[in-house]
Amino acid sequence: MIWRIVGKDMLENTLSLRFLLSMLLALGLFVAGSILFLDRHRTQTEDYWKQANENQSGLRERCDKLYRLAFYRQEVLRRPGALAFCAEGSEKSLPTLFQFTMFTKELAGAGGRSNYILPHFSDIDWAFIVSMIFSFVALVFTYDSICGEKEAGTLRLMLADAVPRYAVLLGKYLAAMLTLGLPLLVGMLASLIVVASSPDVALHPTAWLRIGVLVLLALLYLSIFVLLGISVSSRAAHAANSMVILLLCWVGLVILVPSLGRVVSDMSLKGPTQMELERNLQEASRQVWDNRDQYGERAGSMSHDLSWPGNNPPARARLRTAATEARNRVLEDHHDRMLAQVFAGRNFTSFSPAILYQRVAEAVAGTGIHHCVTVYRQIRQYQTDLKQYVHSVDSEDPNSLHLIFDEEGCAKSWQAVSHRPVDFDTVPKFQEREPPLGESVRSAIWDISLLGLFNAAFFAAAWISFMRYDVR
Amino acid sequence: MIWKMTRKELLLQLMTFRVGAGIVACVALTVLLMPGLIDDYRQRLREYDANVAANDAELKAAKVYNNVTMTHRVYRPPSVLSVFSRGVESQVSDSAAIRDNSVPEISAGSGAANPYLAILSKLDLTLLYQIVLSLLAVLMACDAVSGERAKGTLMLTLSGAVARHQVLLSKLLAGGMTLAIPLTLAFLAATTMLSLSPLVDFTVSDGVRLGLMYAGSTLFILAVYSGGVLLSCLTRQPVTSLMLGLFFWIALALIVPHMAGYMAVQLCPIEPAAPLAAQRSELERVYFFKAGDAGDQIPLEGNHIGHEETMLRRYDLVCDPKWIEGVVKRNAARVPIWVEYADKVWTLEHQYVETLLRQERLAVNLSRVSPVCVYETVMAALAGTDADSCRAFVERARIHRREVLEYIRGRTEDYTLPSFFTPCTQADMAVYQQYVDGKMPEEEFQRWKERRIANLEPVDLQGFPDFVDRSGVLPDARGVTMGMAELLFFNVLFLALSFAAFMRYDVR
Repeated sequence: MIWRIVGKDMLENTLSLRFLLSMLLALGLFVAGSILFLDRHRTQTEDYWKQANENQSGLRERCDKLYRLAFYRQEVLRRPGALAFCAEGSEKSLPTLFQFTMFTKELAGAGGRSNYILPHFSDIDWAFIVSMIFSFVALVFTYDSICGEKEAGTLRLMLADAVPRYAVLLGKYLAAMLTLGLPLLVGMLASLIVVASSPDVALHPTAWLRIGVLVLLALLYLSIFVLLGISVSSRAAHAANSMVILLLCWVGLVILVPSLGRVVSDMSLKGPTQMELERNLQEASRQVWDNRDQYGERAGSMSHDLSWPGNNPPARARLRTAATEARNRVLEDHHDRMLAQVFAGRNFTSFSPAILYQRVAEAVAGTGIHHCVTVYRQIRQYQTDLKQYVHSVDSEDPNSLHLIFDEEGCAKSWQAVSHRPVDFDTVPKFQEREPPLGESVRSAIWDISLLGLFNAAFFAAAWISFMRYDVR
Repeated sequence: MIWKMTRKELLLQLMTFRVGAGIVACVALTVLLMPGLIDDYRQRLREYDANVAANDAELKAAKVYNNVTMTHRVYRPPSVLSVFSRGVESQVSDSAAIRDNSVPEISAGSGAANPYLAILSKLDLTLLYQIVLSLLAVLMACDAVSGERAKGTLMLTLSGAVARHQVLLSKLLAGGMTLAIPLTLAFLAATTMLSLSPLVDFTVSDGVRLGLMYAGSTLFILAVYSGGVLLSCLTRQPVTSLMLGLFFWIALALIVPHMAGYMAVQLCPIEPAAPLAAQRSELERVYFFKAGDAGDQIPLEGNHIGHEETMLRRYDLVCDPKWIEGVVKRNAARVPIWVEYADKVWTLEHQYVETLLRQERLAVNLSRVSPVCVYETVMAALAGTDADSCRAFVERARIHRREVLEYIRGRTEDYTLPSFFTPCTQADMAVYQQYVDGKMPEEEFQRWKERRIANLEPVDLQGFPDFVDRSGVLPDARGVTMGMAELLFFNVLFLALSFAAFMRYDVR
């Protein structure tokens, strides 16, 4: 019986104008989004490899002396994601350029082609199309699923024919999902054909697995709005009223709540400012230098002439290391406060299924703010690996003082770090690693659970509403 | 007859659930959002006042004219109407440094302090009206004609001696009056809450711009409503016109704004910022050496004692005549080089900013097909938060910089007076000479030095040019006029097409 209802509703939906419009909209948006993505991805990939090659050349050039390698200021860009056409994650607005040496790193900056004068806009990616457009279309398909049939008089007839209410509800839900799924899947397929046929994007097997997960998540998200539509439709007496209520719900959940994120983040946590950072850095440096005597005699004085009696290299090394660590602590703290401010706003907007879906999509596609944070952490690990490498090579040189600290002049003139050449092939090189799919899904497990919870809540609401619905 | 029919239509509309829900939603959301928006504005205003006060204090504490061009900054006050439209205000810097070695130019704003904030979108009342009121207008308009046809009442109405244009006009008037209710109530609520808020000061200029915002919002809503009526006149079933209306709304309110930005980025790409930074560094290196060489050619003899009150407030406390003579000559040689460097760097930065502005203008032009985008542009221009307003501020900052440099040049006779870098007087020189000659003990000199520092008078800044952010009643009259004209055009176009469609409409 359920499948009969599904078949009937599907036929009705697919022959309607709204289905035709949805299909045209889906095809147009998915294909346009993919075409525009390809062009941008090509430019970003060119920029990325150009920067990576320059960085590698610089690294190779500095292999003539170990100390030069230690002090080399590397610049890396975040790799453009191949799945950014699925969830761009505001990557164009996020910092892309990371500059660091073995000892310290700067806060990430905008190294790409971002335009701070352009009003904020979302890319036409899958996440946008599904979270904004298809959620709206889901409500358009379901706003009259119950009350529309009641107004037409067919609901009464159907239920008079000993069709259980749950069968009607489930049938309508499945029909709406299948009807919605058709333009969604056709659009996604068209998008994949455009992207996969381009030589500029390489989709390896894991990427296809991620795409599969994204499709399932899209259906999980849309299911929320289908159930919302059915539950409101089973509360409203007229289709017109149902449409108004649903549109207000959609405006609240998809437009307003996500937009409150910035207001909440500004109100809940005072954002760290550039002046504060500079002040904290100066203060940290001043504290170390004011207490320089605790690192050893004459730690604060230095001459490039090693034989100068005022020099005390081990004390100098301890002082400079302390100053570097103090600076790194301030930068790390600043970075954590920046993230905390953003996450405060983002966590508030978890009331919106649209935000939950976008976060999950970004996690699975490997884009967005988590991509930034992941690269930041990988760079920190790389710095540790590079330091260990320099230590181990330096220890083999009997002419070196084996004092590795952040003062290039001393490393050069005192031979505090070995001046021997190193083999480029043995030098650790930074390579951005994509987290495995399992890890990505695990990081988004709470958001996926919340999406499931929304489904359960609206399903319960639809169930209760329809079981008590007066069909006369 | 028209007014009778308009009254009838008005009553019919007002008694529908959708209009009631729309009015309640619009007003309730405005009242709920305003405290947060006002709080944000007050916070920015407090920061602005604190910054201006700190800058004034810094100017008053300057001991030499050189300190002025090390520390002076001008600030753009936050617009009180930014609660209605945030525009790009938060994305662009709200201050400009007045330096001899840099020219003010548009740069990234406070968001640069926390670049991760870019993932969170802004909220203002324009977004609310764009979405809620336009949706209400679409819902009301879509069954204006086709709904009556489906019910059979249109046929009855036209079978009387009622002209078609009267029927349509009454529907349009009634729709407009109905939509004016939530719009007016929302504007009144917002304005009342804003004006009652402490620290918020409304000027006449703000009042005029608020009035224009209301007019622009009215034109926008009427344009959307007329578009909906047009669809209703082109279809036979209200469901059909509703579906078409909603899908057109999705296209114009959601897709076009994002697609326009996306396409502007593809069609008018900008170069990466890194090469500009490299060019700037190279220029800095070249001019650093040039200034160094120019200064090194002038021998610097003599002695001096420098003092640093803060990292940027430094000066030579005492010097001997030889030192003064040497530094004066060096400054006369170096400062013009730094000013030349500033102009060269500005040329590079300006070219880069022009490409950003070109891309922004392309995005705005591409989005003109949608009344929703035109409305957003008009509101941002009236609030003084659009790109052109930011550019105007930077232009005024550049004029102020020229005035300040002229002032300092005049006060120091083209950097040739010692007051440019030292407050040292003849008496100070005499004391210092005694110390250098060994005729004054170290302790006594230190005591003298401390007394001197404590009693130092700030440098005379009488006649120092004030920075006034003269944004005027209409910061961007041309942009506003164009936007309003476009909204009017949409209204006229949809009205004309509706009339043409309704005259041929089959009411059976």
